[in-house]
Amino acid sequence: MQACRRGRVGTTTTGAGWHSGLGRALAFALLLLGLADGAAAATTPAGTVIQASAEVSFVIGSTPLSVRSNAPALSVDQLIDVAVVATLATVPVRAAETARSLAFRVVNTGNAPETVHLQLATAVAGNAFDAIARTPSIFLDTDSSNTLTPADVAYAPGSNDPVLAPGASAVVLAVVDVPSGVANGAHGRVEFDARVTAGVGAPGTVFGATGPNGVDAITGLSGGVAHATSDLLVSGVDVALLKSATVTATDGSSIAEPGSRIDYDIAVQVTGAGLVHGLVVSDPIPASTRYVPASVQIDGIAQSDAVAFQPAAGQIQVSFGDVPAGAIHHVRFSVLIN
Amino acid sequence: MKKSIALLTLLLASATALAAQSGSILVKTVAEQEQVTTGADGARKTTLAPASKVLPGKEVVYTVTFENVGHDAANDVVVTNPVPEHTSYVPGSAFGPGTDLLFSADGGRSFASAAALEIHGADGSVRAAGPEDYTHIRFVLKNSLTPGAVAFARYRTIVK
Repeated sequence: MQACRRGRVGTTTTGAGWHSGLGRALAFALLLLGLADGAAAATTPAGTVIQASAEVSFVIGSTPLSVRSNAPALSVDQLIDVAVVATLATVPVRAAETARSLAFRVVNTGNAPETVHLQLATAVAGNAFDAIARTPSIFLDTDSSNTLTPADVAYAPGSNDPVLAPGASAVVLAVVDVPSGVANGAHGRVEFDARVTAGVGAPGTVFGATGPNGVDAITGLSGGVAHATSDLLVSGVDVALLKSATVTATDGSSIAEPGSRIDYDIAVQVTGAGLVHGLVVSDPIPASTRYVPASVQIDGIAQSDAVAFQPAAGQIQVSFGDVPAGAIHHVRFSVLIN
Repeated sequence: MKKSIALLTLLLASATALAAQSGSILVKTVAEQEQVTTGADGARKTTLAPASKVLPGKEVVYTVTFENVGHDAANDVVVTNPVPEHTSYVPGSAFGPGTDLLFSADGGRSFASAAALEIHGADGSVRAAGPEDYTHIRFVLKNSLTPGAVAFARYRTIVK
C-alpha cells in the first residue's frame, strides 16, 4: 500500500510566527539565544585594593623565628568596556511589516557599574534598503521576552539609560518598519550602538580619578563604545509538506494488518526567497498504531527519542532552526499497527 | 643597576633600625609592573616600574628581598607568599636562586612541588592542582643565610 498526499495530513509546522493564505509561511519565532550572563562577573571590581606580603620563618641556633614583610598596596583601576550582540544576526521580515522588534544584548564587560547610552542607525550604506526607525525606536526589554510587549519601556536618552553592574547585561529592542515595495531576498541592515557614559576614547584613554574610590578610569579594547548589526532579510517563504507511507507486513507483503510496519516519509520543502526561522515539524502517531522506538530520522540521520519523540503528546517533533528557501529535508519515522 | 644599589642602601639603612625587634632577617616585598618603552632608535625596551595601580588582566611582578642583618647564620629559611585575593599565579613565574619551590592549594595548610600538588574534593575525589588553584607560593632556601647575605625571590600574579 502506498499512500501519498499533498499538504498537512495531520502534520503541523510550528514556530513559523505567522502564516498568510495558501500555506505561505513567514517564520520568525524568536529563539532565545540564552547568552550566558555574568561571564565577566569574576573581574576584580574597580576600587579594590590588592595587598601582598611575605612571611619568612627561620631558625637561629635552635630558636624558631618569623618575620613578615611590608604589604605593598595596588588599587584596581576602572576598566571601561562594553559589548553589544545582536540576538539574531539575520532576521526574516516581510515588505511593509510594521513595528518589527530586533533584540540586542548590551553587556558591561568592564569592572565598575556603567551607565550606557543607546543609539540606533537605520541608514547603513551598502545594502538594498533602509529600515524606518519608529518613534520611539528603542525599548528596554523589561520582561526579557526578546520581543516588544506592552510591558516594555520606551528608552529616553539621558533619563532612563540602562545602568549595568560589572558582567551584567540587558536586552534592548530596536523597533523598525520595513518599507513597502522591497523585493523578497533583499537585505537591509540596522546598526545598534551602546556608548558608556563614563568616557569614550581610544583603548587606554585615562580619565583621572573618576572611578570608584577615586581610582582612574581607563578605556579597554572597546574604547567604551560597541556596535552590532542585525540584517533584515525580506522573506516570502512557502513551506510544503509531502507525506508518504510504505506498509510492510511480517510476511514481507504490503498488507496492512496487526503487526505490519508503516514507514512514513515527510518531505519538507521551503520555496520562495529568504529564510524561515525556527521551523518545527510535528506529526501525531496515528490511532491504533504504536511508535517504533528510535525510528525518527532527519535526512537519513537517526534522531534521539529524547528529542524527537513526545510520548505524552503522542507525536514526533523535529526542529530545523533556520531554513533557507530552496532547501528540502526528509523526516522519517515508523509505527506498528496494533 | 643604579636603582638596585639605591634599593640595597635603603634596605641596609632600615635594617639597623628594625633588626632588634624583628629577629635577624629583614624582609621586603616590592610590587612592580612591566613597562614597554620605545627608544629614540625605535628599539623596544621592557623595564620594571613600581606599581600602585593595576587593571584587570595585567600582571604584577612581586620581588621579595630578605637579608640576614644579625650576627648568626639563619637556618631553615622559608619564605611564604599568599597569592593575593583577586589575582592568580602566573604559571612558571616563580624564581628564587638557591631555593626549592613549593605551592599550596589549600590556603597554606599543606605544601608540595607543582608536580605533586593535589586537590582533594569534599566528595573524596583527587585531581592535580593547576596554577589557578595555588593559594600560596613558598621558597625554601637550600643553604643557610649567613650574616650579611641577601637573597631574593620573585613571582608574578595576574589580576582577575
